[in-house]
Amino acid sequence: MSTQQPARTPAGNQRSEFQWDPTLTRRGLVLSGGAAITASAAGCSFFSTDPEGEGAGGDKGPEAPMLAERVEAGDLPPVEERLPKEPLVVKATDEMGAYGGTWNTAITGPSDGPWLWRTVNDGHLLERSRDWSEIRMNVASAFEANADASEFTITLREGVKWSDGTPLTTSDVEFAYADVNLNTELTTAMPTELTSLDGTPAELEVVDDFTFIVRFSGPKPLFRDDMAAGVAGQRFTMYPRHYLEQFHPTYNPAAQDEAVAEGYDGWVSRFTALGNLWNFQWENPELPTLLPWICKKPVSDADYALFERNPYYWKVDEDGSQLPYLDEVRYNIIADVETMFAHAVNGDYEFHSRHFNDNAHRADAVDGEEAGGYTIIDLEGTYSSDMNIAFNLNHADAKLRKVFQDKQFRIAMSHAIDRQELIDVLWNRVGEPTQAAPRPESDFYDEAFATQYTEFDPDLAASTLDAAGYALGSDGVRTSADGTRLEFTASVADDALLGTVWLDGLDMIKDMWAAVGVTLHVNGQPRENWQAGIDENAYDLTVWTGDGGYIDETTAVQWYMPAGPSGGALFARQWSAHYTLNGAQDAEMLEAPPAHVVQQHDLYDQFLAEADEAARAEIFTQILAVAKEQFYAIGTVRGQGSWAIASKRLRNFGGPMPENPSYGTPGPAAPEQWWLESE
Amino acid sequence: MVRYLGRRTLYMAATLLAISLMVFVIISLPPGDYVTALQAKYNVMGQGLTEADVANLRMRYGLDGNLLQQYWHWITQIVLHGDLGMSFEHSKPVEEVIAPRLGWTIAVSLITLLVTWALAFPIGVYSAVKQHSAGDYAVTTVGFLGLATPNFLIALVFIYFSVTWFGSVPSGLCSPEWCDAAWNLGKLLDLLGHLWIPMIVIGTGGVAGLVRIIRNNLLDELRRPYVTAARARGVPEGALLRRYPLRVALNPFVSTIGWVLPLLLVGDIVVGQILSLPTLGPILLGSLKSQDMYLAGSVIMVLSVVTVIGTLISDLLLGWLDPRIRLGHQR
Repeated sequence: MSTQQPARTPAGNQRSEFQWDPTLTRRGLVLSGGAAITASAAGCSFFSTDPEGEGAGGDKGPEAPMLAERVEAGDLPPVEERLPKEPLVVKATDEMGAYGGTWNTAITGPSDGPWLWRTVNDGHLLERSRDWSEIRMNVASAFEANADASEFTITLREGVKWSDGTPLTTSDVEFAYADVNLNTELTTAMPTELTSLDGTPAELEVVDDFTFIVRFSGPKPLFRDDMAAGVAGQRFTMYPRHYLEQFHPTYNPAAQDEAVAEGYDGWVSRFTALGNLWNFQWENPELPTLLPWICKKPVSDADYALFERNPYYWKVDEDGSQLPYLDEVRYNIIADVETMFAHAVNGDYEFHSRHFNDNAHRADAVDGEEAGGYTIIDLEGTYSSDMNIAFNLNHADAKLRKVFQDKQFRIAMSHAIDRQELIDVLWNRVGEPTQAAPRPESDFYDEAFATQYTEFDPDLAASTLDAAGYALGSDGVRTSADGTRLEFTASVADDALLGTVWLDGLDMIKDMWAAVGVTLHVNGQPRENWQAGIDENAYDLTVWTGDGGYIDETTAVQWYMPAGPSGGALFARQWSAHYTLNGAQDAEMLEAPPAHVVQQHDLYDQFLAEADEAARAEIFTQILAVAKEQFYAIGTVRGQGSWAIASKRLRNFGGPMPENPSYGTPGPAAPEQWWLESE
Repeated sequence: MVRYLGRRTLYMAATLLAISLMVFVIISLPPGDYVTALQAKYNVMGQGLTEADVANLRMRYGLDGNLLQQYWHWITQIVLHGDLGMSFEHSKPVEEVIAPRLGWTIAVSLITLLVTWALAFPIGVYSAVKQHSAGDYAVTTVGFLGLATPNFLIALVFIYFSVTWFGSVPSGLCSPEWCDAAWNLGKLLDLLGHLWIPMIVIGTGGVAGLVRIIRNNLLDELRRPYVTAARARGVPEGALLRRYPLRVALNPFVSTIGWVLPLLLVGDIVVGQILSLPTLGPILLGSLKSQDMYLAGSVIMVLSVVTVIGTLISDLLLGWLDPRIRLGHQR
């Protein structure tokens, strides 16, 4: 046995150099004898200096040293053969960097796919710029629409290769479309980005090895936006045909039997586990991908997941040096958020903006900046409000439904909330009272919409309720004209990021509403249970973040109309389903949508089919006008956005950025060109 | 002996069957199922599922029948084919998810058990022999504190002090640079450097309990007439203690495997979550939350099997060690 440092590539040595500093080692000595010996064993590498990682730009060469070694050993073709003919040139955010280093971050476990998806992700046909304003080419090198935007001619960047070196061609696109997306066993419901507005699937025509045409039955102007978005933009380019064919019964008649023999319950589950669904890329190290870093150790392993640079990554910096700069991304699997935060404060993460980046942890994180060697970056909030309150307008109980659908009732409830007090107590005194309306940064900002009924006026609230026929009973609780007591329960997902703030906020609102004769109970529950309750339409009211405040106003429309992703509006799930599922679930609907909702649905149909951007914006403004008039949901506080923790050595991430699920923070900040300055 | 073993094995099988039914029912109690969770996932991806789609998915995941049918399917697969089913969340056979973690779970628990013994024995003996001394009181106080403080709290306190004093966070079982290294002395030392924290955290309750038991057992023995008689005949105090009362007081060491082992396994579930150990704890919680029922059920079943076998071993050892028990039922 030896106490030698484990054998590593030079890049690996450099990694520990980045991670360990001598003070840490000294602390390690205190920790325990065992740890001390380990640390001093690791300490040998402090003094080994590696040429790479010193200084930026210039002499860094066309590829990472770890890859150059593999080329020399004959394991890899030279870099010019690995890159496309015309690789995509990424303009560095601040300056060109140097190769090497590890990005340490954390996930709670395999179900924490969103963070992986936000950090190690690429391969969309198009992509958004960092400021979200521009859509530009990515895997596609050309993207042309015909006059009425019903037909799109797309050219793949020639010479882009999967991470195993096989070229990406339209045969992959064909496989992805015909054998995965159109296969009802693999893709249970056709994704909306691939269907025409009338619900029929698009038609795919392959022109040559690199060109294909996507044809819809009518105009689909937002197809371009879709192809620049998260999962949607990858539908054609995330299924390596040469690898996945063997699991598909169309190409391998024995696929079913093999899957069963391997312990799966059928070919569908094997295909799904190895190459379908959104989290496959983190689970199967053998799956060829187009990502900047490829899976070396999958997420389902116990300690950590490791992603290493993709030798065939198809982007370069302005010098023509192949990206990414960072050798590895390492996701430590930490199930407990407080433990994760302890690591963060200790400076163990190069960049992280999830799980613990809420108001409650901000002060402690700022305090630790100096000692932990990191900076706290404010992220720009994109929520209309941090807690929107949705009364269930589709409530199963007809009498309660009537109360919730009464706009005067909702207005009174809004006036009864003392938002300033919420801000003072729960939002660290930083925040603005607001309704569920687009934010000031948004093009759709309407001050009147954002501020209507926000002033705290319990007397006005009481008189509004009086006038609307809710008489105060002897026990201080109001009843409606038909005898329904105004006593409701709020369902809250208490483990959502803002869950504790919501619970505390509702506890305060409970008293505020009690003062005007409305009784509120607060029922906090785990997110999964909450979701089940919402899906079964078994809730009086609930709260959630005000998605669609900025950046994704026109896609995350669920606070402006009964529609949108994630099952639609929390204030009217059935009306949302009626629209998004084209009436497939109408048998369950308790009440047909009223005229103003139908009007919004019609407008949104027009919006989706309108090719002209200005005209589209105009239509959306009309939708918002209805939302303003109808006042579906009650907003509370637009608080300080969340924050990110970034090592002082991390370069090129470019400071503050929006925090938003559609944006996929920090994805658009292009982590492939981030680099670590050596100390 | 063979009959005894056979009888015990039969009891074990019955116990496990009862446990499996209970586990399955309890896991299925919360509203919704894995398809509910999947539905939400699809929604996020912009794919609305119709009722028919959901029904299809339920059929694919075998969630369409009633609870009894599902249970029957699950348990027959386990008994007849040793197939624990598929984990929905990991889209992998359950065995593949559990196998790499089970080893660590058992290792952590066993090592903790050994350490528990190593700590509890001298302390228990000391506090019995020196009853009512300052040391006894100190040990007793600390012991009660250990018994009364929940494991997760101790773990959090450890993390807090570790960060503020030492500047490192004690999570996981290996340091980054050693995790994928091959086994050598360095890696072993690194492992020990990490292992002592879960060991202490999980072990405190067990140590405290054992100390109390040994102390009480030994005190009972020390007051027996034979001890007084031996002392009167001039047997040296040390030899006396070692030769007679200690042996009798040793019984709980063996019999405790039965109840300390589940305690350690459960402790591991809670502490594993906080300290991010590569054990079964964190995935059990995750699978319960996402209603990944076969995974959750299998984890609990596997832990139950380990516990039941542990109990059997402790009973056999006890019978071998203590003739009173071995011959007990013959009287």
